Amino acid sequence: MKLTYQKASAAILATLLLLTVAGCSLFGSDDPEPGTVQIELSSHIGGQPLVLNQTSYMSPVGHDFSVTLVEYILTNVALRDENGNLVRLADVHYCNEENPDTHVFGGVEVPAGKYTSLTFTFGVSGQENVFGNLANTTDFDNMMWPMMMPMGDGATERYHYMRFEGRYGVDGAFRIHVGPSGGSDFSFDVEVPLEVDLDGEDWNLGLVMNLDQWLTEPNDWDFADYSMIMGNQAAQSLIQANGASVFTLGHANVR
Amino acid sequence: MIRFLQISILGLGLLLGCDSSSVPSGPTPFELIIPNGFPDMDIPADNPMTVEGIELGKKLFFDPILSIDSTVACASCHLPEDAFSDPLAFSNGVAGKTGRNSMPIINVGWMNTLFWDGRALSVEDQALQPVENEVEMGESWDNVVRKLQRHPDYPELFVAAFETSIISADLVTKAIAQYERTLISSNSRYDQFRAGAIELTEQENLGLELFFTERADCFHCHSTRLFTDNRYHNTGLDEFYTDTGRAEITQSASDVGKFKTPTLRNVEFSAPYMHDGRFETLDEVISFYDTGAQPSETIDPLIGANRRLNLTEEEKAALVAFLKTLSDPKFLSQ
Repeated sequence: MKLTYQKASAAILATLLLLTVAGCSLFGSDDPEPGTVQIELSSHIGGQPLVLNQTSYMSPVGHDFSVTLVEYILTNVALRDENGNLVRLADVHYCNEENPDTHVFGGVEVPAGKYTSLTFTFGVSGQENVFGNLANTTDFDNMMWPMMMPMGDGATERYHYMRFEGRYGVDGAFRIHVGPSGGSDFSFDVEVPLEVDLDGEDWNLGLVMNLDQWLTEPNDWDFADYSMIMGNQAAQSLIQANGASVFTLGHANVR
Repeated sequence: MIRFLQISILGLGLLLGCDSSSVPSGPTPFELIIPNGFPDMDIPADNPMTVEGIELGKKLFFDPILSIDSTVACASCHLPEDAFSDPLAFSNGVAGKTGRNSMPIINVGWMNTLFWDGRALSVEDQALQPVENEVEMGESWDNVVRKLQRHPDYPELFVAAFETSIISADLVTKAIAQYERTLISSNSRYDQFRAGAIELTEQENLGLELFFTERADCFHCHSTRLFTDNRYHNTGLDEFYTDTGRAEITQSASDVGKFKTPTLRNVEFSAPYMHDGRFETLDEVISFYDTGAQPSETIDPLIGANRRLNLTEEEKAALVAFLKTLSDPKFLSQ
């Protein structure tokens, strides 16, 4: 009798174990799971990582130039899935080429799925671009676009979208400061194609700002004509058009 | 009877316990008021501000006990009436003249690097360095600690501020840093104008417009509420630099001739100007930026070797008038 009871118990246990294993296989482990996505920013010229202050580059109109400062703001950073739905990675991000701490952001949980592009606004669009709207930090403070710059409404201070500075030729200097001017905000939306099939992994996406593209396609940039452009609506329009080809995907890896 | 006594003693103990718990213990937290529109201030977690810590820091700031011969205090080179800077181009230390002009101590709580070359990475670190500088105070921290420990007042003040009578260099600098973080200037005529409380004069308004546009282009370095970007620039003071500034710290050729942007708040009172105090008046400073920049390999693109502002005399005067709206007389009386 005792033996029979032991056998029965063993059979029940074995059945339970089998069911548990089968249950996991059938109902658990095959379910798509969320992961995380972080963005890693870098600046390149000629397909190579930018070296601040040192390397001499060549502009499309034949100017030797070096870069001393690159800082910019991205907003509404999101992934677009195959159905067109957006998953927000960050509301706003400030990047300073000189500060590696600002090169990586995101790292947020993202639902499983197939993602086809990374989208964001370069700069701060429209009504959002009011000084004080972004985090109250010295980094954003330094990006102030003063109230005196022509915007049309003359209402308040705003933010630079980008400060891209350097030297060219023998003793020239350029200060490409992008931001609102003459009643237009000049921010623009960017969509970078990618293929990410996310299922439980932690992804790292490299977003490259190809600085040389700011200086060409469709408008070849002559530092001698446009060394400083904050109050120049025409120049802001030209640089905005060049911005369309500036951002590319560097890599898409599982971390 | 014994049980009654036990209960009575327990009750008395509880009463005493309640009584003692109602007495505040430890230093009193100090809530720093951040002026409207200013960035958030990062206060180190290991040095929270307290009423007692600030009082101690203030006493230490003005006390020459920190120097080897008790002749030089922090305040000797950072005089409140001179915007916490020094009217001398080079300050008098215990062993002669210092190598650079004393930077004003204004709104330093928002600075993540200090000194003209940025060699200090916190307010605490900044407070640490002058004591053992041979020219400035010429003292060792061990001696400073011994002197403070023997002092009739300080041990008690350290107990009040940090709950220990064992004084250390770390606690001294923490106290001074707490005091320095209270040195906030935010009530100038410019601030009142921004708040809508007053109007600026026509001349001041012209100066403001010049300052905040690329016409005079002051604002890119002297940004926003703090009037400093806390960065380093070669403004074209010289073609060749004997004092290489930031490069002394980074050892990078690209940093030669770069110095930290000083705040312009209370600039009316912080003369002489530049890292070596070469300009005695604001007129001289503006004339330099108008036409005087010298070319060099590291000159800042915001200045540019060939850039000439060509300001009119009226515009120069307007800039000076605007700069004087940044004066905050109440701040100077701290």
